[in-house]
Amino acid sequence: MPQSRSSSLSSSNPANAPQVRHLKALGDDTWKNKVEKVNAEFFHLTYGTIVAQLCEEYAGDYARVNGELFQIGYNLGVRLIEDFLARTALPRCDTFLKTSEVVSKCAFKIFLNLTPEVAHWNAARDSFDLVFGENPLAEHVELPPGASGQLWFSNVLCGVLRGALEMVQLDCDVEFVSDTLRGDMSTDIRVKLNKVLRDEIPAGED
Amino acid sequence: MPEYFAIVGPGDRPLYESELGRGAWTPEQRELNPFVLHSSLDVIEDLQWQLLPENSDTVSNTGGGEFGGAAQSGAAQGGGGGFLRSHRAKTETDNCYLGRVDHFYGLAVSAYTTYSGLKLLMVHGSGIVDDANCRSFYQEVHELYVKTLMNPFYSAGGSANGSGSGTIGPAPITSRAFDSRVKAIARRHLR
Amino acid sequence: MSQASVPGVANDGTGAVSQQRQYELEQEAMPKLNRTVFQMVLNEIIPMAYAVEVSKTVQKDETGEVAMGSLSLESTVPGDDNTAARRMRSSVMAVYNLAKLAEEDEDKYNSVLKRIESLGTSIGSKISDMLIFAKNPSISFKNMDLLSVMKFICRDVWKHVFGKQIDNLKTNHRGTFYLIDLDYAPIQDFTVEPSVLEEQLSEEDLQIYELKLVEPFLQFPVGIIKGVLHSLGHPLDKVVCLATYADKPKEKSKVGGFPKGINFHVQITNN
Repeated sequence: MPQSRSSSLSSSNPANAPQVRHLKALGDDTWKNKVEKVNAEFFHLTYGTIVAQLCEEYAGDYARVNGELFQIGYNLGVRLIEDFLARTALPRCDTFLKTSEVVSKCAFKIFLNLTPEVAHWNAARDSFDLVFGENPLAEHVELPPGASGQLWFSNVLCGVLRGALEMVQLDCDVEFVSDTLRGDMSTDIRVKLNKVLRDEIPAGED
Repeated sequence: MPEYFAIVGPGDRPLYESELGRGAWTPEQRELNPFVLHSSLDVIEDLQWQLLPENSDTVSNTGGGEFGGAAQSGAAQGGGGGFLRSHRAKTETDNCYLGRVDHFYGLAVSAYTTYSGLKLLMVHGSGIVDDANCRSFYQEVHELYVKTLMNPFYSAGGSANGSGSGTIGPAPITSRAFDSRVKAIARRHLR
Repeated sequence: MSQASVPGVANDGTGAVSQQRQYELEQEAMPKLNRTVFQMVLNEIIPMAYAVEVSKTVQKDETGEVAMGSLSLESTVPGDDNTAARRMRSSVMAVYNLAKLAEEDEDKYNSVLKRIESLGTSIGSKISDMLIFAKNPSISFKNMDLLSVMKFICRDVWKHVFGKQIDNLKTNHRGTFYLIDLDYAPIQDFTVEPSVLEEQLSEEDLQIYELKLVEPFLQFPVGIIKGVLHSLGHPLDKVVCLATYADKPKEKSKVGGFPKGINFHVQITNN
């Protein structure tokens, strides 16, 4: 199970290469053939307008804006996971490492047509970062002066991951640790596994 | 020669201005430039609503034959007539560039308008408007403006969150990135 | 009242066709993402607008100005950011609570609707510039008359934002338009879950209740329409736009879809 202490999971992880390739092919194929598409700029415009309106409503209380964006994401995540499982028919991940690859190669690919890099595993192997080059939702965005350093513009993504992973019994903390909008080199989301919610698996499943 | 460039929104609200091109304006001229531009706005307004001959008889519509003419344009803002289109326009989609619209003691004024009521204008110190370069310059700045719209923290107006009447147009463009990009475009197209 | 069809691509000559093809190729090359995600985010605007109302009321409540009233987000602990972020507020419950709010506090309900509409307006007033700049050769405003602007909304704006065109456009030639969308996309999957209701409703009452629940979702496209008109020279205070339910023709009602079409009544005054 996700505590991934298995010896086959070395850091370079060659044993998993075919599996990763398979996941990538699955993500690419689903994106290409089974998804109705829309111009990304309309999505970016819509999401950005939501963020801007929240900033205005909460008069620069960016902690609350971050919380609201997270909540929107959470609401999306708990439902997107159903869509995801229906499309991919993927079985339960047996390691957290596999979870990370599914998130990056399949989920992000199918929904946002992005493939963030999985990096920065900790020693306990229960925490990794999803690394994006640029902030994926913030093309053309210029933060207002007060927001820099406080607002996590794309915090909705953390909420989505938190909600979706929770629905597959993985209780995780998900948060941004860096953002190119703030002048960082890359945009990183940290996913940290707290525990596996075994008890909440409904009877009759698994 | 120097150029003075400005973007004016609906209701003649200035959104952006900068000095481009080579050389500097004399202090007197620098003060005069906004007035020169402003006086050209009326000329553009006239040009804008001038009906193009080939447009007058080709209102596309199926069913409801009485469309197009008086009944509709009466309801449109501005009243009687068509919406611009320079005689220099080559195609339907290249119709925003108006070319030289006005002159003032050796200065020339060129202009470009958009459907959303934005006016882009330039005072040319040389008194000469190079259409090819000018058109490219305006089109690229227009494209830059459309990208600016993608910035959610830039308001194109119409947001009526309780504050204000909600009828105000686009906000002034204060982004430094916008400014430096306009200057880069100018370096490429204006001499 | 005459009908104006919403035509697709005008194939008037080979030049126009290749220009159209060029445009389509450019559109295909643009970055894409999953429409499901886009639509879900659009729908999430409604619970968000409600949550902001609750949040503001709670804030005022703490300073002793306003009573909490009927607003609730189910066992939330305001103030503590971490708790707020983690609270298990379901967007579905927000929609039900919003319908309750409509009966109990009209001012607050209208404030939520206004918030939804203003988001639509902001987006609409930007989207027209983006679409026009994309140089779609079939976009033409000819004399900049209202009808061609309306056609632009019905065809281009609707197609890009909601994935389909408006089904029917009607006008009286005097500034009144009816835009009818028989299957307004974002609400197609909506149904009431009788299990969450406190009391048992008859089939008929259930449908009335369902329509009430969906009402706030229609404020977003209303905002879009007003925003587009605003950006093309028709100020917000000169435009009235109302969304009402329209009956579907029998042959059009799909199994499982939302039972009603939407009629957007747009009225534009001159001065």
